[in-house]
Amino acid sequence: MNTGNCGEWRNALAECARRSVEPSGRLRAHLADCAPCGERWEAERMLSAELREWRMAHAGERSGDLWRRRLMAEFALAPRSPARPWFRWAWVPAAAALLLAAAAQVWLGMPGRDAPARFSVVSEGVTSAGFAGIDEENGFIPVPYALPLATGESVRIVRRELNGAELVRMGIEPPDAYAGDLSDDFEANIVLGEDELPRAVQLVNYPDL
Amino acid sequence: MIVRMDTSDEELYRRIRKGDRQALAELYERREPALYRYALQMSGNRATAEETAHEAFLQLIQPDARFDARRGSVEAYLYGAVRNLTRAAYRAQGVGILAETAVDDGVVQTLIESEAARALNIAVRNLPPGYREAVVLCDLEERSYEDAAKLVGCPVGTIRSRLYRARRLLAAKLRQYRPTPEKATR
Repeated sequence: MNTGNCGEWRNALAECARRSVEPSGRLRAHLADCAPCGERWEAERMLSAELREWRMAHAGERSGDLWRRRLMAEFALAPRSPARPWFRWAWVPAAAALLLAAAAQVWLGMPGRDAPARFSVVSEGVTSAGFAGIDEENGFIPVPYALPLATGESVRIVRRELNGAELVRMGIEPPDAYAGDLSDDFEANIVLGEDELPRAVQLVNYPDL
Repeated sequence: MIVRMDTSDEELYRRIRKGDRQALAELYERREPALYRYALQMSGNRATAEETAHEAFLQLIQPDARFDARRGSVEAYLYGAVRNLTRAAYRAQGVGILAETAVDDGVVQTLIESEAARALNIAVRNLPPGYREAVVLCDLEERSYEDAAKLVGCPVGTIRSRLYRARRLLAAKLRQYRPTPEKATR
């Protein structure tokens, strides 16, 4: 009877031994015919039995409890939330926004902008006493785009020297009667709010027609 | 501690990332014993096995852990970590330093261990690492070929062929230790 060659049964022998099952009819017939395969079958069975014994003997093995406690302690100390990549780069837009804000501040604060400039007082010949409010009839020309004075806000009036060009930069056109050059100096009373920003200008002693 | 298997390792890992101690304790109870035995058989040294199993868990809970669920399971990550750490320990201690010895069980354990078990232990130790890994996972830990392949990161056929070759080597080695009929009757 042809029971096949040994190579055909090699893996089947190992699988039967590993699973502790008896070989099938054809394999059994081959084992009866082939002495080397019969020996191999016995060797595989013994190996499986020894491995099983070894497995049972070592089944409960594990690291000591000290290692578990160490791990839990280290877990308690470990930082929880990892720095995510987008967090790592969050400073870039923040820094850019700050830079833009700073640049805008500088640009808006430059002379010649519509925003009223801060004045350094050169003299205070006039005080706010008797100030009747910003009114062109009083000779006070409002500074365009300046914030209106709040109700009850105190003001300070300072006198200083100006020239036509500075008036223009503040957004105030020189009066029709103004006959001087833009570089000619004249005196002006300047109304400052509590924030020290000019609200109105009263021209004094300017060259007229 | 009773280990419940109704929560997947990956779910436990997500909870661990949020700082859940109970989840870590559960994952540890579930996976550490087999991981330790694997480390023990791969390193042949109890101290190294304990350290590598511990270190594998430690790597997993680090904020910058490289575990990615899309690339494999938590268990495969742990086994991979132990494999790498064991290799590193071998390199540090000198390749093959433990190859001819049984697992260092201590004097008492060695005395009570049967000669056959000791012979098996040494024979397993002497297998090439890839073959040893297949025997440890499939025959000692009773993993399926598919499971073992996932843990090792190789095709199922590779695990199967390694295991068959390993068993042939083991059988040949153990034959030397078994008493022959002549020895037995003497």
